Amino acid sequence: MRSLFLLFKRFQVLLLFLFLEGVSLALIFQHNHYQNAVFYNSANKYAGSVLNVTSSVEGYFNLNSVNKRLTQENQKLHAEIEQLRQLSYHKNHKVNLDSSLLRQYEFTVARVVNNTTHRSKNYITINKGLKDGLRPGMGVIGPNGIIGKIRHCSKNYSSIISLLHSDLIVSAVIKKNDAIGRIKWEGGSYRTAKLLEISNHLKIVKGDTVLTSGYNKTFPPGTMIGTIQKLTTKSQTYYDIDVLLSTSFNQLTYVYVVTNELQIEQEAIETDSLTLNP
Amino acid sequence: MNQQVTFINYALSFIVHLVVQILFVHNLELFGLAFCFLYINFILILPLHTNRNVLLVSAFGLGFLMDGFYDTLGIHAFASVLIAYLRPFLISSIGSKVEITELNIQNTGLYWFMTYSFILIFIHHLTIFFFQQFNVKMFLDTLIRVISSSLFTLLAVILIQYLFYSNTKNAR
Repeated sequence: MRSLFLLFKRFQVLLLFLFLEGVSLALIFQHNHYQNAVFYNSANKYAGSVLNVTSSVEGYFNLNSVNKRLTQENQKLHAEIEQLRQLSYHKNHKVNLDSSLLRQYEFTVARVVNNTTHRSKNYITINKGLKDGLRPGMGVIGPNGIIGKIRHCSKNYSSIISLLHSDLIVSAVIKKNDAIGRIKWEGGSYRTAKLLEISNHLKIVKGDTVLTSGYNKTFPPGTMIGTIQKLTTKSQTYYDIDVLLSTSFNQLTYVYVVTNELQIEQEAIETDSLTLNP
Repeated sequence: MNQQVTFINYALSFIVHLVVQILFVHNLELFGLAFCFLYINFILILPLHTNRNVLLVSAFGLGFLMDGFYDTLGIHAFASVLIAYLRPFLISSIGSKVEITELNIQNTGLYWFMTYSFILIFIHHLTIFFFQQFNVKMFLDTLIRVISSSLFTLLAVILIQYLFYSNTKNAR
C-alpha cells in the first residue's frame, strides 16, 4: 500500500496531466456528438453578458456604417410597405385573403453579440432568448438575406448555427425558373456556398438570383440567399454551382428572428400524414 | 506571507489575461487568417519553479473559461494543459549560456525568449486549429492559419515583454 502511494506521488504530475487531457477530450467529443445536450456555450448567462459588454464597446466603432445600413434598410422597407399597400388595395376589391396567412410571419429584432466566420462550424450569439419568445428551430434573417437557425436558447441569449455551418442545409429555389435545390456551405470562404441538386438540363446563367423555397418551415419563402457566381458541369446530372451569399457574415450587427405562427400546425399535419401512410 | 503575495499576484495576472483576451483580442483577426490567443502568455510567464500541479490546473482553468467564449468546448483546455505540461521539459532542453532565473526578456535575452515562446505558441495553435477543422482537405489552409496566428501571438507576447518588463529590472 505504501509503495503504491510512493508510486502515485512519483507520477503525480503525469497522472494529473493525463487526467486533465482526458477530461478535455471527453468534452470535445461530447460537444461534437450531442450538440443539443450542451449546457456550456456562449449562450449561457455569464459568457453571454460579458460578450454583450464587448459588443457594445465595439458597437461605437462602427456606428457610422451601421447607420448607413439602417437607413438603406428603412428605405427598402418603405418601398415594400408601399407596394403591399397597393397590393392590398387591389386585393380588397376582389378577393379576401385569409388573415392568418397574412400574419403568418412575425419578426423580432436582436443584436449580434458574438459571431465567427473562420471555422468549419460557425455560431452566432444574439441578445434575445426564451424571455422574448424565441425557441430553438426558429429562422434568423438579416437585412440582406438569410443568416441561420436558432440552436440553443437561454433566458436572455440565443446561440445560432450560422449558414456557415456544415450542419445547416436550406431548401432554395432559383427565382427565374423555380428550380428547387439545396444550399450548403462546405467550408472555405465565408462569401460563397454551394447550391446542390440543380439538374444540368435547366438553363441557368451567372448572376441568377437564389431565394429560399416554400418547402421550408424556418424561413419565409422568397427570402434572399444570394446570386450565382460560378457555374460548372462536372457531373452527368447536376450543375456545380457557387452562390455568392448576399449577407456579409463578417459584419452582422442586427438580425431578425422569424416566428412562423403556422410552423407547429404544418409540422403536425406532416407527421400525421406520415403516420397514416408511412 | 511572501507566498501569499505571489499567489495574489498570479491570481491577478490570471484575471488580467482573461479579461484582455475576451474584451480586446477575442475578435481580432488579420486578413481572416491570423488570430491572436494572447491569453497563453499567462502560462508562458509563470515563475520558473511554479509547482507543476498548480501549472496544469491553472492552465486547464484558463483554457476551459476560454472555451466558453469561443464555443469550442474542451479544445482550448486541451491545448493549454498540453503546453503547461511541456513547459518544464522545454525550459531544461533549450539550454542557455547564462543561468535562467526568471522568465522574462530581461533575464533570458530576446533570442532565448523568442525560441521558448514560439515553440509553445506553435504547439498550442496547432492543436487548436486541428481540433477545430478536423478535415484533411483543408490541411494546407489550416497550416497557413497556424503559422500566421503563431507569429501574431508571438509578436504580441514579445511586445508585452518590452512594454512591461524591459525598463525596471523587477517590474511587477
